[in-house]
Amino acid sequence: MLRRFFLVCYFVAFSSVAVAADDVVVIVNQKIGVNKMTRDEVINVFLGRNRQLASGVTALPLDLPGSSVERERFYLQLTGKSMNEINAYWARLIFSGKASPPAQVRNQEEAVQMVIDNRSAVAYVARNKVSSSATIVYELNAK
Amino acid sequence: MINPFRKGILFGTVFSIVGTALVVSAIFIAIVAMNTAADTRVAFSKHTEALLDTVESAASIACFVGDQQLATEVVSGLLKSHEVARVVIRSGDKELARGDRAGLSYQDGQMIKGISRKIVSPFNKGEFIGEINVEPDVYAINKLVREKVYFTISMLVLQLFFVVVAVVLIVYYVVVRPIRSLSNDLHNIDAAAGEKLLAPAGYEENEIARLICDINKLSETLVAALVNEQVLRLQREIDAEKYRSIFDNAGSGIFIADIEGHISSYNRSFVTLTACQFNAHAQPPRLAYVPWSDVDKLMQAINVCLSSGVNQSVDLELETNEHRWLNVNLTAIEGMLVQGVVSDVSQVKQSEATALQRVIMDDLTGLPNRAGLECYLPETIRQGHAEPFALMLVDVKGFKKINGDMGMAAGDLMLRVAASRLKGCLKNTDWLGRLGGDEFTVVLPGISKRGAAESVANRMAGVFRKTIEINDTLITPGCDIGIAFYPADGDDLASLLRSAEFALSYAKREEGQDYQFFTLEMAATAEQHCKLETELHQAIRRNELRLYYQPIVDLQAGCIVGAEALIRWQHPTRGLVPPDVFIFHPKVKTTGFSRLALAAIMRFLNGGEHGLQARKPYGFSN
Repeated sequence: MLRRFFLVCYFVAFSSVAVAADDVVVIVNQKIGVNKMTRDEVINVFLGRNRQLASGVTALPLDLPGSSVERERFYLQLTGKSMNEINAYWARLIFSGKASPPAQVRNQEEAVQMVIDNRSAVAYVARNKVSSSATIVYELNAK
Repeated sequence: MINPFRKGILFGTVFSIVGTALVVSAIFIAIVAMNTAADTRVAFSKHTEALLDTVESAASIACFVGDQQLATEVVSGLLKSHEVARVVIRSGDKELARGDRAGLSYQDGQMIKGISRKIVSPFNKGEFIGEINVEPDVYAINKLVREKVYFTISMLVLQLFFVVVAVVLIVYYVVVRPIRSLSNDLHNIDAAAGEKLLAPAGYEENEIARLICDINKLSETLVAALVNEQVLRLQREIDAEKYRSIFDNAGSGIFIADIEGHISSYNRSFVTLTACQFNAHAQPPRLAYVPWSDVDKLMQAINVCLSSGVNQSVDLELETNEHRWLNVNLTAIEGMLVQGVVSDVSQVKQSEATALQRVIMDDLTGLPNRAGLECYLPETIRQGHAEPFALMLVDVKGFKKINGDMGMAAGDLMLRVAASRLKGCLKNTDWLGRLGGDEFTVVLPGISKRGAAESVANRMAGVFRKTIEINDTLITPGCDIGIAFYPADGDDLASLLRSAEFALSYAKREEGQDYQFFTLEMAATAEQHCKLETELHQAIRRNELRLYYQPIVDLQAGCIVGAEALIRWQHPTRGLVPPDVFIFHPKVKTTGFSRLALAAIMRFLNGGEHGLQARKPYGFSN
């Protein structure tokens, strides 16, 4: 009984922290006219299946550097797969040239800046890095 | 020699086992083939599933992004497996990749239903994003199945070969060899000498040994039976010799014959008695070769004897110079043969003939008597079928007188002379006999007309008119002849003789007429006379005869001097019969009638009332 109680407390604490600080969100340029994306749309864009957004604009997804905690968290929370698996996925596709992985930026700030500057850019950053000029279209959490 | 490959135990056994094994193997192979085909398909499925497991993530990715190149790589990877004929990867409605094994061309109907697997999104297990279809190579799978089945068949054939070899060896050594050895021993054994079979080495305890033991026992029993049989046969031969000796030396002739008269055996006496020499080498002896006078009678007796089983006895005459008579007594033997015992009965027959002769002959004249007549006349006369003939009775006149006056010897002489004279008048075919007294009987066969008979009768009357010298006295006898014809005047001997008697009595009565033919009137008159005689006898007894007296009156003296007595017959039905009807009847004299009449008259006269004196009446014949 006591143990279950602690478990519940842990989850509550963890989620509140995640929402509060480290939540990764997907942002797009405000002018693109997209306010909301579904999880599948996010997967399609970032894993190269379909880069057409709902408004008809071809999206340009941006990846954080490989060492980034946000990148690992993003893919894990989005697809349930580790970075190794994601890399292996791309390794399969890289030769056919049919799909290519997102372009890589140096850090979150650059990613935010690219989104602000580029109408078709789509990036994922920690919530606290998002500026008001970018639109959050999808929020990832530990759920 | 029997063909060992067709009839031998070895061949039969091996043939049966191989046959059974082939049938069972065929069933096994069919089952194995079916199971192998099924197993191979299951194995193909498992193998394909495993292959699909390995390529699933790649296929999933290819479908996810619609990457045809990646899909093509997956397809070519799968086609490396030999059993796969075709792989198709679809993503939604779109075919991403398709691959067919080179060198195979399938019609659609030939394809075995393949394996297909849904492809889920690599990032969302709940989303189906495509399908992969793997179709098997029927040829390859069938080839696989065939190889497995061939392997099984070759294993079974190998097994069969070893089994057959083993069976051949076992049957040969365990069964055939001892039996052949036993058979050879049995061929060469001399059972009568008490030799016995020995079990072949190594088979002293099994069924072969038991068989040998049984054969030995059987052989012993048979040999014992044979010895017994020999002893019995010897005994029987001795007995047979004994009986043969009796048979050969018997006084009676003995023969054994069948129904056809073939003689199967006979003894010496038979040959002696029948005076018949059989030549057994020339032809088998037959009863018919014996010179019987009536062989049919013998054959008939044999038939009756065989059919009824009752002993038959026949007397047969032999047609030899001696005319011997043989009696053959027949006994049936087992219904097929007859045994005949032949004995000479010539003497008995001779005595019989003499006795018969004595019975039917008249010693005095040497002529047949009445019994002789009965023997002479054929049997058929009693049935009225005989040929017609004439019968004559010849009575020598005056015989009684000569017999009385000159003595019996003279009478006999006269009869002998009469017989010889009569014989002289007759043909050889005619018959002459003396039925008794002075009466001769003549039978003239074939004569039915008066004319022919008359000439014979005249001839006979003629010879009797010639004188006979007896004791220096010349006598002319004369004769009376009564003639009757068969069958007109009597259809049996008795009635014919009676008719002739009637005719004879008429001939005697008629003077100057030597012979008379029988007529019906004679019979009628004779009958009437006979009746009257009977009635007259009754009349006397009943006192029906009455005397009536007519007085004779002396008219001068005026008194009755006598009376005429008239006799009358008061007949009960005919009334008053006049005396002329009966008084002259030839028999009246003999009936004592006259004495009765005289007595009655005397009684009347002695009554005394009438004053008459009795004297011999007039007109009374004595």
